[in-house]
Amino acid sequence: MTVFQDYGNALLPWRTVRGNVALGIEEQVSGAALDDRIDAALAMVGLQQAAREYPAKLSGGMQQRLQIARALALQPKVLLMDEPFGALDAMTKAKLQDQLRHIQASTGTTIVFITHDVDEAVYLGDRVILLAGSPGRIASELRSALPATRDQISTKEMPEYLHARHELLERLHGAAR
Amino acid sequence: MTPRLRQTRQWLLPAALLVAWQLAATAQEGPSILPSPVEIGQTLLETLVSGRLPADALHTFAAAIASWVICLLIGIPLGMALGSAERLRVALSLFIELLRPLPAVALIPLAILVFGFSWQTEITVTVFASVWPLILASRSGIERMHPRILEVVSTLHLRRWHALRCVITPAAFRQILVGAKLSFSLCLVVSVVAEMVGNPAGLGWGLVSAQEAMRASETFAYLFAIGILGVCANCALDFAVKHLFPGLAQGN
Amino acid sequence: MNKMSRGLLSLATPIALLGVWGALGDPASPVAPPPQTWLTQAAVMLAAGDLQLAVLATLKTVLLATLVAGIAGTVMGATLGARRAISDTVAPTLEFLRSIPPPTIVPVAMLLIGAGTGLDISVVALATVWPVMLNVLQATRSIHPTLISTGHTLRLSPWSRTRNIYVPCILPGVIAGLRVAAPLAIIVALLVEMLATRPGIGRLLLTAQRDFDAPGVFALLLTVGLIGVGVNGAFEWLERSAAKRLPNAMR
Repeated sequence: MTVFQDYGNALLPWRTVRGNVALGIEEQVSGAALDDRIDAALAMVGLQQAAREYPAKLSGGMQQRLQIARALALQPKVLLMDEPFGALDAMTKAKLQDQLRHIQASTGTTIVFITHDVDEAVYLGDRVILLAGSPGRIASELRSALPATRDQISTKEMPEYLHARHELLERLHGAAR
Repeated sequence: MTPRLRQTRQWLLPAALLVAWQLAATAQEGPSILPSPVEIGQTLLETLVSGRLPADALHTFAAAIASWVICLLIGIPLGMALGSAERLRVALSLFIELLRPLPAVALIPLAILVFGFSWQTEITVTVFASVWPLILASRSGIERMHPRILEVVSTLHLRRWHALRCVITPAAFRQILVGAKLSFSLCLVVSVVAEMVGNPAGLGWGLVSAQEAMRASETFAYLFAIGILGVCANCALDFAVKHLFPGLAQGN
Repeated sequence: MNKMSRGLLSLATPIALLGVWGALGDPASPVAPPPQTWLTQAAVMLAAGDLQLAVLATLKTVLLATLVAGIAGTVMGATLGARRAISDTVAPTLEFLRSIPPPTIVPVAMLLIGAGTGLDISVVALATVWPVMLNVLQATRSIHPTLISTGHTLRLSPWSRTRNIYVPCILPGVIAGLRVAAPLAIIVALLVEMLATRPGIGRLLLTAQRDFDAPGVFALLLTVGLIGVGVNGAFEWLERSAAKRLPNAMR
């Protein structure tokens, strides 16, 4: 189950927010059960207010949350996210990162998150895997020493965070050489 | 120049032309070949009231609509199939390029051979002439679709029919609609032409029989009616589209 | 798929269709005679001289009418487009006239112009002048005012201005209009021949249909197709060579 970076092309502009979330599950579920699933997904990303809007009316961050909600509605075991926050501004990115960790904690889904942003990788990840070369192979892996609950301010000042970041950047430079 | 002044001049021109025409027609000596606008108006009214013009107009309109529906049923699936399957597109490309430019007029005698002078002739010729814009537009709608849409379909594990109905067709809809409108105008025109030569009914036939009987003002009246029908029908279609598919503005 | 296999694949469909038709078709069929019969019938018509005469008659009408429409349309379009005031005033009237389908003008034109040799060309020209005129009008309106000022600033003679500024700007519009007018001319010419029983392929088609000569009808359809390809091809070539010789920077 993939979430794409270019949410604009991945959403259906002719369906409302609810309609977009329903797309993956409407063949299997219907009626009240369908509505419940949609509501749950929207609640997880915080889009309940915008349920009847069309994607074109939403901001970039909200559209990406909509895509995530659509993915979550399928209750996947594994979620592949391909640089999902790359097209968003820094503040929206930070908010969504926190929301994503929250979602992962409540659903238990395994999330494979692809990013070029070292800070994002360290902040979000429980395990950070470094890919190198083309075709990519796993160059090295880092297990996070950060606590389960994180926040944008204090976590980024922790020594474990700075150490992990340092380590990762060194390995990146090493792999580049 | 203010908009009002410009508008007045725009309306003044046809009014002036009509007046000039009227004067020219009344100034003719002897049997006139050019009927005056007043005469044409009178004839128009007569044919309207007698019910002949409305009946003919209804026939033409019905034939055009029927042909259009057939075009939609054939053209959209075929066009979408062409857009999705590369091999099919290539296989049929030369075939389509050879058939498409054949003028409807030239096909009428063939249709008469097969169906005689009948409504089947009219509809067959009209469909043959008007289906191409729909095929090409539907094909284009699929080809222009963003590849991301197909990836979304596969990542959501949507079943084929569901994907076709809820994702792919709406994505191509804009283009399909353009083709459908073009096809509709063609259906109207070709129906009239087919009636002129191949099916003695409707406005086309009324036009030609008036001309053959040298009833000049009636000929003009029918020409006017054809023009008006075309304008009204196309406007009505635009109106219907705007109201049935307000969500079209939501599309990218 | 490389270019060659594409070409072969697309060629395969019509050939296969014709082949199957030729092999399985019933030569005596009143509505679907196999392709061989078309050629035999075409040969018959050629021998009798009918086919060539008809083709020449239709071609003559089409080409002459397109020429007349081209000249008249260019003159009218350039005149109406020269001043914004004029083109604005004329716009709605032209829109209305444009919505009259050219084939439907034929009966009216036949009444007004009357029988005679000039009928074909006049009627077809009348029906096909619109695309040329509208295109030229548009092209004239879109000549950038700076270009016009340049002509005056350089104190060019009217002849020089016309030749070096106006003509290159308008020419693409003329050719675009002709490219639309030519196929339209074929359609209208056929229609005139059918309605007014003037010599040409249209009349031959009706004769063949009345004689229940199905192979003849198909042979004539083929001929019409070939003429269409020829005429369209000629005008497309014209458009391409004009585009090559006129600098794109002007547009």
